Amino acid sequence: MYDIKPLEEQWKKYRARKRRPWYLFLITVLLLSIVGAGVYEKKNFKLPSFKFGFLSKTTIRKSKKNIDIIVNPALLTLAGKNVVEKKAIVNEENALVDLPILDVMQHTTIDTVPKERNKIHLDIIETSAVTAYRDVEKRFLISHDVDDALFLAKSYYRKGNYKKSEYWAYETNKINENNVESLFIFIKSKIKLGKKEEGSSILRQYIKKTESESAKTLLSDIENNKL
Amino acid sequence: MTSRYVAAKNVFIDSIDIDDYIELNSSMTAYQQLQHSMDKPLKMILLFGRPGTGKSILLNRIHEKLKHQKEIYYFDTPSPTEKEFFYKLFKVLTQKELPNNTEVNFTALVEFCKKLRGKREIIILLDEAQMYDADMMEKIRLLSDTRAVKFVVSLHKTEDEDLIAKAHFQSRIWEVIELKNASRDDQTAYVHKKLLKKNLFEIANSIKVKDMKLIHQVTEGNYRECNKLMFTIFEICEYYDKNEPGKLNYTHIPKKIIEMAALKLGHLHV
Ligand SMILES: Nc1ncnc2c1ncn2[C@@H]1O[C@H](COP(=O)(O)OP(=O)(O)OP(=O)(O)O)[C@@H](O)[C@H]1O
Ligand SMILES: [Mg+2]
Repeated sequence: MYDIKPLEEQWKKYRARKRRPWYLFLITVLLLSIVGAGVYEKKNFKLPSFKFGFLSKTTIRKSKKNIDIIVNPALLTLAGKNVVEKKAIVNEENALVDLPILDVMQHTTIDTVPKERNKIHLDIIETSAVTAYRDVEKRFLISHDVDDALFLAKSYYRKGNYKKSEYWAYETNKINENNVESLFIFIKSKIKLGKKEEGSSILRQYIKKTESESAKTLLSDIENNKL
Repeated sequence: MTSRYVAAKNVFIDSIDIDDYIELNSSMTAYQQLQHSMDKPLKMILLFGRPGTGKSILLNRIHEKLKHQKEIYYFDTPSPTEKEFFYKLFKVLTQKELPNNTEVNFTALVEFCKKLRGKREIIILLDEAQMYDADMMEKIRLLSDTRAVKFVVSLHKTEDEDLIAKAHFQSRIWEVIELKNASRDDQTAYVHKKLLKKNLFEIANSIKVKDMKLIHQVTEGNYRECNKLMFTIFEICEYYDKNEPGKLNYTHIPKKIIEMAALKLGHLHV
C-alpha cells in the first residue's frame, strides 16, 4: 500500500479550500448585517452591491450548463444520405432482402466535455529490463494510467518496436485525446511501419486544426525523410 | 487476517469476465438493439461509445448468449498484422487450418464467401476496430458485401480522434448503436450488484445513495473510472482497517475516503 499520509494532507487542504467560500460567505453576511444594522438605524435600506454579486454568480452557472453538444459532421451527412436512399426503396418491399437496407440513424451524441485532470503520482523509472515492460503493461490493465501507456509507447519507439509503440501511443490517446506526445509517436510509428501516407494525412489534419508549429516541423521531417 | 476490503477491492479490477456481466437498464437496451440489428439484413453494424462504457463486455455477452444458436465469432484485439487477421478469418470461414507456408488469397476468399451465401450466416464481432487501418476496413467491407458475413464493428470515440484518424469508418456505417456513460441509477446498481455477486453484503450496504451521488459525479458515470475509484476507495479502507481502524466506519464508508480516492486519481484537485 502506498503512503497514506501525503494523501491525508492533500485531503485536508482540499477540504479547507472547499470550505473557504462558506467561511467567506458567513463572514460577509455577518459584516453586512452589522453594517446593515447600523444603516437601518439611519433609516437607509440600500445594499446594492450585495445583490449584484449574487446575480452575476447565477448567470455564470447557467452558461456553464449550456456546453454544446459536439456532433460529428460526417455522421450527420451520412444520416441525411440514408434517409434519401431509404425513400428510394420504399415501394419495392419484395426486393428488400437483396438490397442493402439503410436505417435512419438512431444516433445522438450526448457527451459532456471531460474535465481536465491533474495527475498526482508518477512512479515510472527508466529501465531496460524486459520484465519491467511486462509489469507496466500488466499494471496498465488495472490502472489505465496515461503515464504508463505513454511510457510504453516511448520506450517501444526508442527500441524500434514500432508496432508496439503505435499500439501504446493509441492507448494513451484513448485515455487523453489531448496528449500531443502520444499523437506524434502514433504518427511516427506509422511512418516507420511504412504507412507514410496515412501518418502524414493524420498529421496534416491535426495541423489544419491547431496550426501547431511542432507538428509542422514533424511534417517537414517526414516529407524530407529525415525521421 | 486479511482485511475484508481486499475482496471488495478485487471486485473492481478492470476485466472482461463474462461471468461478471450485470444486467443494467442501459446495457439491456443496447443488447436488445444490437440483437435486433443483427437480425436485419444489414452488413455492418457500428457499436461505439467512449472508452470504458462497456462495449467489449457487451460483445462478449452477445457472443456467449448466441453462440449455440448462431454462427458467431468474437475477435478481441486486432491481429498485429493483416496476414494474421486473414489467417484467423480463413479458419473461421473455411473451418480449416491454412496449409503451412501459404498465405490467404483475398480474392479467392471473397469468391468463397459468395458461394456461402444463403447457406451459412456468419456473424463476426470485431472489437477495438479503431486499430484496423483503412486498407483492412476496405477488405472487411468487401467481405461483408458478399452477404455471407455480417460484421459488428466496435470502436471507441473520443472527442476528435474519430475525425482525425478514423475517417474511413464514416462512409459506410449502416446502423449505429451508441453506448453512453451510466446514469446514476445504473451506476448504483452496478456497484451494488458487483459486490453482492461476491457476497459482500455488508460492504455493499455501507455505500449509501449519497455516496453514489458523489461517485457518479466524479466518474461521470464511466464504468472504467468507476472501477478505478472503487478499487482505490477499498484500497484506502484496507490500509485503515489494518493500521488505523479508528478512522474507519464499518457501516458507512466515510466521505473523506471517497474524496481521498478521487484526489488520488485526479478527479478532484486541491
Ligand atoms: N453491464 C456490465 N456488467 C459488468 N461489467 C460491466 C458492464 N458494463 C461495463 N462493465 C465493466 O466496465 C469496464 C469497462 O468496460 P469495457 O472494457 O467493456 O469498455 P469498452 O467500452 O470496451 O472500453 P474501450 O473502448 O477502452 O475498449 C469493464 O471492467 C467491464 O467489466
Ligand atoms: Mg473494449
